[in-house]
Amino acid sequence: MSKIKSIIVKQSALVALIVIFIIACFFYPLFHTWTNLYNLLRQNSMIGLIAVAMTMVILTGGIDLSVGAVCSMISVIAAYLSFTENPLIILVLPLLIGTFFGFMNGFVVAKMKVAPIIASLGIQLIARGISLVMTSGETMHISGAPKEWLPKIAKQSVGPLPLIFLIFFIFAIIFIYILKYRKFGREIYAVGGNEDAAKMMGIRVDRVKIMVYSISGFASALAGLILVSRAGTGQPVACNGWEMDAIAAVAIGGTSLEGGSGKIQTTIFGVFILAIIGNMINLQGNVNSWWQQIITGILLIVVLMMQVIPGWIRNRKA
Amino acid sequence: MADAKRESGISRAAVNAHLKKFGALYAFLILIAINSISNRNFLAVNTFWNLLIQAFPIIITSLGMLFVISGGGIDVSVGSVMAVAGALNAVIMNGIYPFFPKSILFGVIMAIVVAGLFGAFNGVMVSVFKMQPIVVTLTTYIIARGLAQLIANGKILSFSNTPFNAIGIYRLPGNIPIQVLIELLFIIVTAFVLKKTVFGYQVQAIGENAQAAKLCGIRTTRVRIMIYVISSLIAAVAGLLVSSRTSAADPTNLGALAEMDAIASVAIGGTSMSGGKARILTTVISAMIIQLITITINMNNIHYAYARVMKGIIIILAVYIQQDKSR
Amino acid sequence: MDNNLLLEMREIDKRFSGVHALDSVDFSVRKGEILALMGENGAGKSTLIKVLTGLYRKDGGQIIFDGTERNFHTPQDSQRAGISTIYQEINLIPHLSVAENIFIGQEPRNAFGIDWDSVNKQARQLLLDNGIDIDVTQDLASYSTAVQQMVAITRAISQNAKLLIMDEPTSSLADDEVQVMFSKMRELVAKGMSIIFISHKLDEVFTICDRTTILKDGKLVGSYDIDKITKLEMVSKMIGRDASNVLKRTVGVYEEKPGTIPLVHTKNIDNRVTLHGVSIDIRPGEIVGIAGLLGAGKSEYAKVLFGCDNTYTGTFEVEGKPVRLKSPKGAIDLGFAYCSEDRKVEGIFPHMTITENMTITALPRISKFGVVDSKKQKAIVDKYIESIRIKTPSSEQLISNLSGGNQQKVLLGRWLSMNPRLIILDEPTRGIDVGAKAEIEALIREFSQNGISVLYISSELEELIRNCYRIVVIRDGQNSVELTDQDITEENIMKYIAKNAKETEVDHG
Repeated sequence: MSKIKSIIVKQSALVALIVIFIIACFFYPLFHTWTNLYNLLRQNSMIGLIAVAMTMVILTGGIDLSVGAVCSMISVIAAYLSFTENPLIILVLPLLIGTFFGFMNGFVVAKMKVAPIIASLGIQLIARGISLVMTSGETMHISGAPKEWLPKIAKQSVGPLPLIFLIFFIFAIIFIYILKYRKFGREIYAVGGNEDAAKMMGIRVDRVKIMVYSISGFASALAGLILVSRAGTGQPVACNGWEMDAIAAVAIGGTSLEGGSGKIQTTIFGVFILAIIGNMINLQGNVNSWWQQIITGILLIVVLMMQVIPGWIRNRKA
Repeated sequence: MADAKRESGISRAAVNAHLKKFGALYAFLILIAINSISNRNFLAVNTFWNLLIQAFPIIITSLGMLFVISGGGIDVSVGSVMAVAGALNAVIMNGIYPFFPKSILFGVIMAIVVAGLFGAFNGVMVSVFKMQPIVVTLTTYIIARGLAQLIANGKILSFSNTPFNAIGIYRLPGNIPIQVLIELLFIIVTAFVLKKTVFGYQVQAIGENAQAAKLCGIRTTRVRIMIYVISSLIAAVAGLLVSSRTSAADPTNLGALAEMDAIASVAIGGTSMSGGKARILTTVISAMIIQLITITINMNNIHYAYARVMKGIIIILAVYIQQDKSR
Repeated sequence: MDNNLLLEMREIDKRFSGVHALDSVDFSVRKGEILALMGENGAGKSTLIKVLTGLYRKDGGQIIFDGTERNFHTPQDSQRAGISTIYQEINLIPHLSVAENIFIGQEPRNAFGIDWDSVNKQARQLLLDNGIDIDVTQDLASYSTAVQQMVAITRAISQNAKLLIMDEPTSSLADDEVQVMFSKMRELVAKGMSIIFISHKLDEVFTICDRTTILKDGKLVGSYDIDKITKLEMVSKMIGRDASNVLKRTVGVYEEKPGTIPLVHTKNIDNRVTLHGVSIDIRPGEIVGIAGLLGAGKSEYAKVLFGCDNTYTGTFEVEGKPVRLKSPKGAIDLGFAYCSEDRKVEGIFPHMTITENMTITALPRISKFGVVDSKKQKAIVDKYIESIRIKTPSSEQLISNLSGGNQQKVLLGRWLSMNPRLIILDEPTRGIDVGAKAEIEALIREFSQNGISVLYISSELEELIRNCYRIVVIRDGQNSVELTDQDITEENIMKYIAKNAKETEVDHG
């Protein structure tokens, strides 16, 4: 009995995902149609990429508010670069630019010792500003040959699965592997768990921090490429508030915002919990979409309370 | 050699200290100078009122944020709370809910009460349950935005010809907008509370050294709850006044990203993000700088998007320059 | 050089902005010995260790480790050379598994990456070798401090350390756990490892160590074989003064008015961790001193009196009425005041002015409807700047710009403005220069003349002897003896600090 209880507590995100999935299947016959699930996977791949990277930033004890703005900026840059008609430039250069923005973010946090929330807010404004400068707030059209092939990427399927979901999936698997089986992954936990001890153990804390923000920038850029492919245009005002959604997914997944403990796997559960809630509300039709936010928020409270209350009760007893 | 090095170190420290104290003011003056030179109309009284009116939401929400940050916390829910207040008041004023009296006063009171509840929720979660401020207020940010849209049924609620609009539009004799008076009132009251009241001292003491504050007999839990309530109440007022000025409450966009402007103003104003001494005047000036950047760029026909880039750079640099290396 | 030496530090010098923290200290460790590094607060022990491990840069001197002169710039450098440190506050990562904490940074790998099977297997084996049988895949944080301590030691062993530095490793261990650790330590030195053992528990030092090096005020007192020194000698070398200095008492005998009840009466205060039965009475206007080594429970007792520790059992009465304080606020309402030993963490608000620092507790009293009466505020600050002679150009000066002595005076002013009945002073003269020390001591005697009781906690015996009517010696969280009047001598105090717990019981019986 207590074993079941401990599994439920430990895997609360997975349990919640399963429960919500069953509820969705039960009440909405349209939910478990393949078309719907296919779309669900496709639509949430971008936020999934960002949330996976955000997990690592948060594991080090940081936070990255720039992800949405970088993602949107990259979609604009990729669309802009379409005039070159060179797939390498269109796909690789934006990734480098996104990574560089993450690097700057990490540099400001690790070397200039500016609080992560402020540093990434600054980067957010800069990235958003650049996309607006480039476009005056209008969508940026893709020109030439890329107009044909770029949008196709998002529509591509590999077997039964959408290609972009596979991209997200592979990205997640890589970093799940790194977190568990690579020295760098373990250093991320050590930095967030006890920075001083990590230093004593010979871990180069600054480098680890700069790396995770750079990865976050890379993931945002990848999401930006998917965005431009899906939308068929560069989207300078898209992705507003994605950072908050990503942070919410990480928190629902049970990763501590103080850093040091958490997993990418549970973040992915968090992403899809939020996705299914949104999907259900869509399928309901007559319920207003803003319920989604309220339910998300309440769910977030419930999950957070589950993490906090045991400690609180222990303190009261003491 | 060593002496020269030390000397330059001292002068650099002096420059740093100076920039720390007056940096925001310089930036403000430079922006005004640029504007005055490039645009003769800038120094007109009207432009000045416009600046004060346009900067209104940033200024007063940054005052609320000042309480939170100097008390050692953070509140990312202010924008959403603004929207709830605006929407709730608009709905009641327009008499959409038959069971509520169609009254401006009732609308305003309800808006403020509901905002206060959100603040109390934030405060209790942070101080009693020891949850991280950013996570708690993130939940409020999500829920409150949803609630605002729910209240307004997702639509922009407009209203006109009510005395409520008057607050946003009318000017007193001497062409002084009422909003500016309210703004001044808020600045003065905030300064008074932080500098002259027991509560104000206690807020800053908690942010500066929570452990010592507790040993000084300060009821830290209670003060912390109050901080978040104040922040939400001020957000409600900001939301109401913005909707009064625009004669509408847009549940989706009202107050969007206001929390970020407020956090930026407090940070640029030189209050430490880890709490402590609250700097009121520089916070107000920083809020105006953030608004001025936009105005500068508008008036000089520079693309408004540059404003964001500039804001971003200024935030990082300002916080870097002012940060206390000893912390 | 002596072949038998693993580490030799010669004429080590270290200054911090004018303070001579280490003054030409010689220090050496032999191969395969357990050396006790002894000294009270400020003696320079931790500075010496930090210079050795590369956390601090030395200002002068030579470090010879394992036959070659070394200069460690970072803790990693010294670790690589074979010096491992185990701190009192365990420096591991709480949310990683036990196994990983042992291996982080040097995990065994296979083609796939970190080989968790062998990490866990090897960790389990290493711990089993140390007599610990636990699930190594669990988070470190889920185990007791004792186990965590053993994990830290295991980590050090797995790194093939030649020198192990243990900084108060036993402070949060139970007796049987200490025994386990001791047998492990003996095993290690038998294999040729050397250990520097830092502890405030004399019994432990005399049980486990071969030799001791004693520091005082940043200077070397001497190194002694443990079987050639007595506890009393050791204590007197750590805290004693030259015999030539006769200590004068400046206070007389406390004159108890008949019929007065003690202001504070505590009996058998026990929090099961640091206090195991402390009983102290404080009468109105009396200065009561608490003596004892670091970690004996002096500060912890003060925390109980001031409502910071609510986990104790025992009797606590104020003027005959039982009280149970849940927060410092409750203690303040009773008229108690408290200056912590750690001014920086528990006293001052560094970025605030003298005025703000001094009046923060009195604010509710000098305000109407929550608005502070600036005139009264200024009056308080001016009064105490004047009466306790705080040296500052203005009351609007940031407190962090003041000297330690003046900071302490501001804190005393903070509490005096509350008209307290009891002031608890924990190391009130720490980090304060001689002139200011005398002034603060004079102030304390003045409090007593004005009817304020004082609980005076200090590791400086001379101060206690000079200023206290009565001195309670505590050791290992228990009363050792209570001395009054002519019994208050340095010799007596040291005798009772050094005494075995058992002997003390016999005395009482």
